[in-house]
Amino acid sequence: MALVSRRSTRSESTSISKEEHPEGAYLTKLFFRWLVTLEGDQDINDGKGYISIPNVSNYIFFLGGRFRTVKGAKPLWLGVLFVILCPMVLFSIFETHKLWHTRNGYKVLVILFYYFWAITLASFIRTATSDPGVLPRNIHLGQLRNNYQIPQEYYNLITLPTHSSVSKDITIKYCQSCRIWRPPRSSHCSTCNVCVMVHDHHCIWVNNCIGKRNYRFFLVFLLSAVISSIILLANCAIHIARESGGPGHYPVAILLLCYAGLTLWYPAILFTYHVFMAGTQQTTREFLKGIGSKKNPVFHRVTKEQNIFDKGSFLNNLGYLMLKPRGPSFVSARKQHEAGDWRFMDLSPAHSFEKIQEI
Amino acid sequence: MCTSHQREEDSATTGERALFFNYHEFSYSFYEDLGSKNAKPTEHDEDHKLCITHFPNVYAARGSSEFQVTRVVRVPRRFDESRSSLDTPQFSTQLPGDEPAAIVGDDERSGFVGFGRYDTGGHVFGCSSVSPLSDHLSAAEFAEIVCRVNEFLLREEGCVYGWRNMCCLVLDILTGGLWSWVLGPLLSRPVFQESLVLEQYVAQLNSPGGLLYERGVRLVLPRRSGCLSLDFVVPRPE
Repeated sequence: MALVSRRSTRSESTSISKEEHPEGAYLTKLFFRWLVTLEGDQDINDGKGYISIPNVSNYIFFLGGRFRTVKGAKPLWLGVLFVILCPMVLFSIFETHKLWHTRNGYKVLVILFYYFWAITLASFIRTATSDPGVLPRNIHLGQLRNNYQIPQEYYNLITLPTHSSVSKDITIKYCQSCRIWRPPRSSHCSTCNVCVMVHDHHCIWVNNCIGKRNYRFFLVFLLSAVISSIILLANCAIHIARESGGPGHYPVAILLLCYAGLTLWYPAILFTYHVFMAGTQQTTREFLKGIGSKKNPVFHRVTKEQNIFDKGSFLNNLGYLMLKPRGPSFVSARKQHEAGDWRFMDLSPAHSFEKIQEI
Repeated sequence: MCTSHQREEDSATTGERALFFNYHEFSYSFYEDLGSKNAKPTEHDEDHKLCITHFPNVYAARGSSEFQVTRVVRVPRRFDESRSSLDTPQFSTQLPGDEPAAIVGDDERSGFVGFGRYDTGGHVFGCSSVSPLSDHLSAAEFAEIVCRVNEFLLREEGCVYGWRNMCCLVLDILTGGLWSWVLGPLLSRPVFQESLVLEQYVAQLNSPGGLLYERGVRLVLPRRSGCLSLDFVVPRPE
């Protein structure tokens, strides 16, 4: 039997044990860990997923695993949140009551703005903080010997046959970090340090991967951002048109008009790009692979490549990528797991300094 | 000994369609022969390489007794039996060792035949793609179980335009996304517990009276393995 002796490289352990702390301090520490789980501890592999997932990924969890983000990346998502919140606050303070109290039925436009703004915020939060479709680690561990050495065969690209109606065979690859044979269309994100199902890209603006489980929210976020910008534009234009005085009487309306005009374009271009991508049944990663990663995918013409995942028609492809059910979370941050779960063990020899002793 | 993997690679280069095999298996030539006590590992020729068909049980903690006495046989995903298998996980319905490009041993005995010991713990492996699962389940029993699992997975994930998915979409639009986020999981657990039927089926197989329980085998819930492979926990072969 083999025993594992671990030499800890951490100067201070982050584990929380009841014996070391009095009751009050123990509960306080538990509460703070529930509030924000910044990093994992290889010695703690028990309890809920949010405590153990940081052992093997770059995720940070909030409120007991209800929300997540990625550590070490620039917090651009805070800027996006500001861009979403700012016009609503200004509109509510300076514009709403003026449009609401008119006799011409502009109330509908006000309600529509708030509705689409709420969808924008909700879908942004869900895109940025939910599980994009993370795949579990170490499921396809080959052997224990030589510090879990990966067999030579696992370094090969494997070609497997597909259905007779599909033109090409499929190639699959073993992820040496996650120790799994990756399913088609999934890939390893080096920022999050996880493999993601139907991986589209890692979005720096939401600081999360866009994958099978949050692609729908991402598209809804882009579309609702475009629609709420257009409605904001219309609302401010109506206010300006109805005012009899000069620009000095409606400075916020002019500001919001310009703001909506500017914030409309980026999500609109991105959404159009994703419609074409989804319509040709391609993920951003697959598209980039085709055109070469140096080019900006948004400003490159989307062409229909020979694609084994193609559903035949543009609408079918569009519906499939946009409407596909999310499916279950395979590495749930909220679910309890058993002690010593292999999914949350970092077996990478470069980081763990583990030594196998044969008896 | 037939080197089927090599044959498969050759066929790919000549433009023919690839042949399916269990890509989890790998071979190893430096091992201890079975039968002689205190045998030292020796190098073996190409025809007598061990074929590793069962793996550490990653569903039990490393120090646990279950980990010591059990192994996992992995049934891979297969992409050639239906078009939908490219998108929805569908597993091979052939027992490991029966696949078109499986490594066939020259031993005429049926089932799993051990040749040598390998890996930490000295586990027994054979020289063909046949796994210890063949000692517990017949090809027909195995195919029936995998077909049912495949069917449940298709029913859950394949229905993009099914009523449940469409209703969730409409409710999401009406509630601004709150339905699937907060309201739905609180109000209606079965609607959001997609794999409830599959979970029940697996639990029935593994519980007393179930086929697998009687054979001393356990099927791992596909959700637990991320649908990456269909894993059977089998007793450690001796």
